Amino acid sequence: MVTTASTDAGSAVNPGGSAPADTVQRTLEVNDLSIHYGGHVALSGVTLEVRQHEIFGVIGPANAGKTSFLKALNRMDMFNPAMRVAGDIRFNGREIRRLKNVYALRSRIGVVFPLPVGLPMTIYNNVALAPRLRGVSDKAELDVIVERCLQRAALWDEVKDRLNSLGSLLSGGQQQRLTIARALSQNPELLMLDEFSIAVDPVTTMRIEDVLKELRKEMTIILVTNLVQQARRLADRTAFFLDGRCVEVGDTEDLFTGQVQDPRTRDYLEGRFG
Amino acid sequence: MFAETALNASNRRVQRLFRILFMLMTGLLVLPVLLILTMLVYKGGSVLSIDFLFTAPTHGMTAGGIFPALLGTVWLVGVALLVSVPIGVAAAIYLSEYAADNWFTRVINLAIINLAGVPSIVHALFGVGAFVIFFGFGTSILAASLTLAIMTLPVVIVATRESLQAVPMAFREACWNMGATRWQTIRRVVLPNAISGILTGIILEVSRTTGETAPIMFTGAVFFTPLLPQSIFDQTMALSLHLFVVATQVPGVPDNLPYGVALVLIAMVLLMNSISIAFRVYLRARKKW
Repeated sequence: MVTTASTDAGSAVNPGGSAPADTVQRTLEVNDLSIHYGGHVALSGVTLEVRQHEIFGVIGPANAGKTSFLKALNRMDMFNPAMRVAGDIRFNGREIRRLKNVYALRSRIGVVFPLPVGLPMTIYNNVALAPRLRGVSDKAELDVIVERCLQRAALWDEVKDRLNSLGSLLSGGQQQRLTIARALSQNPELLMLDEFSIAVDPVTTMRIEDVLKELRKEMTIILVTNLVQQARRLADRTAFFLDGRCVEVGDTEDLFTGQVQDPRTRDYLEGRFG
Repeated sequence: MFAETALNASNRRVQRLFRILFMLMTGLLVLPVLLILTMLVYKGGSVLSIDFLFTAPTHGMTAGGIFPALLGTVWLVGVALLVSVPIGVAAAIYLSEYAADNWFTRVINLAIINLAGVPSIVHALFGVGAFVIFFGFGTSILAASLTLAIMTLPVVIVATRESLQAVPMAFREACWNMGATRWQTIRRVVLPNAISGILTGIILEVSRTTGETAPIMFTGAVFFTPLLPQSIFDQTMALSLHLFVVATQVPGVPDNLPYGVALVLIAMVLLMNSISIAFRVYLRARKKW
């Protein structure tokens, strides 16, 4: 499904997001996505695409449906009987709702939650878990993966001497970088971050943002954030969600310089509501 | 500014009153335990010896030791555990980790709660009907242990399910998000963090099973047998039933003998509980979140 020529085009960093549509590799194509919880509509009629190797920002006030959107992307609705998803989601061209092997899908998508979830095990085991789940048991191989992932998450220098202490003993910011390292250990094609900086100090936030800019060269990133300035700093293109609808998607710079299709987007970006 | 008003003073008096009241209630709770133990040690301590533990009763059970009963209780409890722990833990894992919240699951939960409330004598009669007669196990360790197992299953299931559910949902979600199956998540994240609670539940089950009399007296435990059990199809003596027998059924038993038997029985239970508590303290100190 991925031709050589288009891979080359897709892997070029493309901050403006203005490449002609037919040469762009899409990691995700979402068509008319709706999500219900019982009678409550969390999201309706969302159509957008996420291009390969871009940082795709999702902004919007609370209850806009941002987190539900992420959950639908890696089929977490399977674990919540009340959650109903309708519409079409294609990951690398494959319709994920018809996918039998959802485990393979999830293992290709790394997720970072708002509050760091350090699993109750050592730092090493936290990062080695995903490789172990996919059958890597060779200690030397695991060592390499753990070191590389911790380094890429900018955590290695702080924890390299205590890999066998508990992940939950780390500070909040360190734990969030640990969860990023854990997500990276999946070798994901898509990394989804859900308001990762909520429990993280500003300095660590900036370090993680630098990490994300580096990671974009290797993977596609969806960044859900409450901080519009964070979206401006990082995202190539940004979607604005409001009350369960995707108001608009555009090049981040366009949105922030007032070139919006919907006045509500400008109001939100200028802090007039939300 | 900080002078005590009448209201402050009365609040303080009431608060002290309640503190003392609650403390007295707590004391009341401890008192019977202390009294029982003291009385048992005082009246039955004199019969305790290595010989008492490791010889059989003699002279129509008015003298000698309790070894067949002690060994019988170990057999009964051991076999009951072998049955109830795998079934109970598996059922609890299913209920906590797999089952959807629907009417079927709710019916099962209701059944478990009701099973816990069934009087032990009813379990005993069920054991006679089902295991002794219908399955043809006769009065045997197997029949008695199966009866005990069914009686204590709810304890294992409830304790296991509660300790599984104490593991935060976020851990499971983090694991699922990585592409782990439910079983991989259970094995690598949920069980390692629930194991202390599960073991505590099992040990509590042991201590409860040890003291049960009614469920075993018609199904496998006998008044007296000089023979030690050789297999699960044998009958056996049991400590709890032996206590009942020497205390009420046999004439001419010296006063201190029943107390001695009771002391051994309660010591076994307390030992189990202490192990359980020590274990919990140990595991809680290592708790990882």
